[in-house]
Amino acid sequence: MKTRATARVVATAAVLLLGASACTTSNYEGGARDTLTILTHYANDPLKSGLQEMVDEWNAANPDLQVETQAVSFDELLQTITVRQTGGEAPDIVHAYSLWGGQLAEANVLAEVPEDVAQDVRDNYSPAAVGSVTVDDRIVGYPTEVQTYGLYYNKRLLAEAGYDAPPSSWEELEEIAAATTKRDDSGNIEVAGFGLTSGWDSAVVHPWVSLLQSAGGRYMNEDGTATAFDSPEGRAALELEKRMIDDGVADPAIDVLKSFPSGTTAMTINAGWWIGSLKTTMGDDYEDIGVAEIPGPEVGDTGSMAYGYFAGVNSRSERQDDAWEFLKWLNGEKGDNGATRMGSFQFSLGTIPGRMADSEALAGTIDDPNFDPFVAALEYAAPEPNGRNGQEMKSSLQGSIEAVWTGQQTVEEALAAAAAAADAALSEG
Amino acid sequence: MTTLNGSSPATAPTASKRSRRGSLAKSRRRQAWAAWFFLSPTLLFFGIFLVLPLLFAIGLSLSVWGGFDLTRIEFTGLDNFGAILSEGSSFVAPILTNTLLFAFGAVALALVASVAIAHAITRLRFEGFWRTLYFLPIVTTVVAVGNIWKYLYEPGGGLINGLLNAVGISSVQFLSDPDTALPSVVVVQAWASIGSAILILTAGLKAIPHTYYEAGELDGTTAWSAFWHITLPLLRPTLLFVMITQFIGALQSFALIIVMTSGGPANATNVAGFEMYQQAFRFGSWGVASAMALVLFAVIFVITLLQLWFFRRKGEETS
Amino acid sequence: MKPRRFPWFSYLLVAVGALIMVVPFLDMVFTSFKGPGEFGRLPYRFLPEDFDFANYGAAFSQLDMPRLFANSILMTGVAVFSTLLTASLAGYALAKLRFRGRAVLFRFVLATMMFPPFLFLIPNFLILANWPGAGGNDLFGAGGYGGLLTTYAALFMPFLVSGFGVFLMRQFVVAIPDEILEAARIDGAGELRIWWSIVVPQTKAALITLGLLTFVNVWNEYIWTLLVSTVNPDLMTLPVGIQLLQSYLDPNLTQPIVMAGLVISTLPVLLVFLLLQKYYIRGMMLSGLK
Repeated sequence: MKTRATARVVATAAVLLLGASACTTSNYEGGARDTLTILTHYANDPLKSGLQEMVDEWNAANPDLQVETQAVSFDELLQTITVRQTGGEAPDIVHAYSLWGGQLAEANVLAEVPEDVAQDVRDNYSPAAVGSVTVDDRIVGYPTEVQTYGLYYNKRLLAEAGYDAPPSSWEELEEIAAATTKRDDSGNIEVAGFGLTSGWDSAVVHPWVSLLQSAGGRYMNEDGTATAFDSPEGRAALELEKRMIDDGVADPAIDVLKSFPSGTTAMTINAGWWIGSLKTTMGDDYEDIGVAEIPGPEVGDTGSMAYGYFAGVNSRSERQDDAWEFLKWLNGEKGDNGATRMGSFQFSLGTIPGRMADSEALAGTIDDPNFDPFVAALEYAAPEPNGRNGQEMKSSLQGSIEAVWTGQQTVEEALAAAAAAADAALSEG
Repeated sequence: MTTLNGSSPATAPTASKRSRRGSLAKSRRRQAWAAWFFLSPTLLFFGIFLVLPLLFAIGLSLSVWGGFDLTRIEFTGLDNFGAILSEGSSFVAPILTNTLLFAFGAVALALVASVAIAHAITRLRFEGFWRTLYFLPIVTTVVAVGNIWKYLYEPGGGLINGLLNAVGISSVQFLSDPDTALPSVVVVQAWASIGSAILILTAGLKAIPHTYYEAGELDGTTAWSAFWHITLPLLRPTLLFVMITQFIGALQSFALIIVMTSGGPANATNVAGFEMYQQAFRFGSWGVASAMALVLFAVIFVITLLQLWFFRRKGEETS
Repeated sequence: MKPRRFPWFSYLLVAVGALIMVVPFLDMVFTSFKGPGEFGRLPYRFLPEDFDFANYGAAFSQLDMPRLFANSILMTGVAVFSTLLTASLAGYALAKLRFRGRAVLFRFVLATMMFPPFLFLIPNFLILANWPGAGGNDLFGAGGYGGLLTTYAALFMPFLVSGFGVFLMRQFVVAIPDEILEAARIDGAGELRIWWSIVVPQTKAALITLGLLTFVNVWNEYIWTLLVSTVNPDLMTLPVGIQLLQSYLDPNLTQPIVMAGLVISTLPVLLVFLLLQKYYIRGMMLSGLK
């Protein structure tokens, strides 16, 4: 009898174990959420603590409507949104990259935007910002930031090579890049004249698109129905990058995000958000950093692309009204300094707020001339297309550009193939 | 290994015939009842996590679905297969070609190395100790294996480039140069799977009777020709098994790719499993992803059959 | 037989190979002790300047290690227990109990081993998310918050039963003499009791082997757990957490900390493996001779 009893104990234990672990872990009580959740990529400081400060302020004033932030790194954000949405643990508020607007709208992730919010966005945000949150003429959420591109350069490295001003044309760019490059005895690059980085889609695609625009080319055609980058301007921009790699002044294997702040890359193209991060990582060395508008083939040419982030409400949220309430407070209501909370927060990081009144209210508070090129670029920067296949298109374009960088394809082949693939995807979707 | 003799279901245990007929029938009934009871958890599991998913995968592969709302599935027939297998689709080239190169490379490397090492180990003292060393990667998570090697390959500060620099060669961008990225990952896959190959091959080597070698020694054959003419042919069944299982493993492996390269640079290390994962869980194209999974399964199936057929035929020719 | 020459070539081959196998692990351990800025300094140095445990502290403070360990242990524990229980019962039924359909079921179990796991990744994810009656779902599996996918059950559900396990146990149970079982039946023992008091003790070694194989596989599982912990970060296991360390931290300082994390997550499996090596190796060999 003893053995049978043991067997019964084993069986019971199994049932209990399975049953117990099927219990819910957190967040869910009685099937409904008791807090609003925001999913964002603000996973590191100063972004993380800045957002948390605003959320804390709201939570203190609204004990009945608590907000909780969930942050993942940018690399994982799209996958996290997709997986959670399908897996059922969808956040109430999605803070996402403008490129994904089309994909998220088509999968029905984003809830309808209330008319007053849509009107507020159309009336009060800069054209680049409105463009970044518009999918098929529909506003998908509040633009939280707009990013444009500029040429970062290290004044100290340029001065050591005998230059006291940033390049104003492609020719000068190549000349200064060559003059600032240094190598060790075994031929490894110690200081790269120009920074190009592979392996990360934005770092590969956006500088090239900016150069393409500075040459007078376009990424998309006028009405956004087909690509326009397989053009003389597009080829010239890619040939410029390829030349610098072949001459050994740029090396895509170097991670510019590390090498530029450590003073081993002289120039590179990046977006405005980087200023905040450079200030934190470089400390006093930040004095060496200058930013200029991106030069074009001739003196006086310039160009940039623009992208942004938006905060939208999940169509799966059971508290959509509450979520919009919170977003309106965050993005629409003026604080003590005359600007919205989101605007002040973005501005403090060196990012241009999308809301025009915010930029005006805050204009006097920062005197770093490095911001000027990014503000100037708002005038001419073209927004990144955000259709259904936006991320896929960008990933394939990244592949084509990297293939040119590494010499696997010629500029002509790569751009023709990338354009054909992207146009096919556009006509399907 | 004698415990394995009963592997064919035909050799069922001879039930005791001593029992009287009545109680025999009763005992049979009781046994049948118990058997179904004992098998029920297993069968229930396979119903939910094998049969149902297979049907689900086939259904999804014939549809377009953007994720999350099951009512929005749209049936589109074979469109997904048409799209991923069409000319110019990146799934066939480079992704499937990469998958095959990855598997062929890793299996070839692991097989040659493991035959040589397994053969050498049997002649050493402390066999077990040596084998354990080769076995370490098998029990290590792929996250560790991938990261360890990622840092070994690092151009600035990794061990391999450190050694190259020390002999005056400038650093190689192993993982960010598309020409070297795939071979670099292949080496890691082979490194990680060599242990189990050695183990199984050792078992196969030990099963070869000594008399064969003794006969060879009388004929005055060299060690090399003994290896070539006695060991290898007799090892064929074991080799076949190792090859097939490693192939299946390598064709579907993509955890290593996630950890080390995320398919880059320029799709140079993108393999079918990773693309499937990416299409579903990143781009939200669940139908396309399911179609890719089924195509990969078909590829694995066909390659396995080919290997079996090839080895059978060779076996017949030589014997 | 004439005495064989000393196999110096074999020693050389095996030793060089062993070096290639072991040096990466040593590099992991040594790097985990390197200080800030020490990794990446040229020329390369194998040994750290001094053995500083700061990186281990950092790994612990950056990640919720107790939770990661608890999740990994829960997942592995349930999977091992369930695999052993179901495989032993099913193996006994398929080996020794007489009933109609046994041959077909045995073939079915063999057939399940043919399907590679990646095929089930997407459907299993969707099945758990739409599990009827769980996580707010209705009886048709719709409408809720992730079904079972947000619960601990999601971690181990796909690993509860192993086709290979059933096969392995069946092969061992077949070897038990029928006379022992028959004698027990004549004594009036029920099948459950026969299983528990005869089959289980007789196959103890095989159970340890299977348990160990399952332990290593499930503990090291990465892709499924990555998906599950993307849905609900509370379910994160050790391998996923360690991989995440890279994106959490300042890239200039991460390498040594990631290595420290890897040492922490690799150590338990390595210890268990070294202790019970012979069982594990036997399992691998058996899987080779099927």
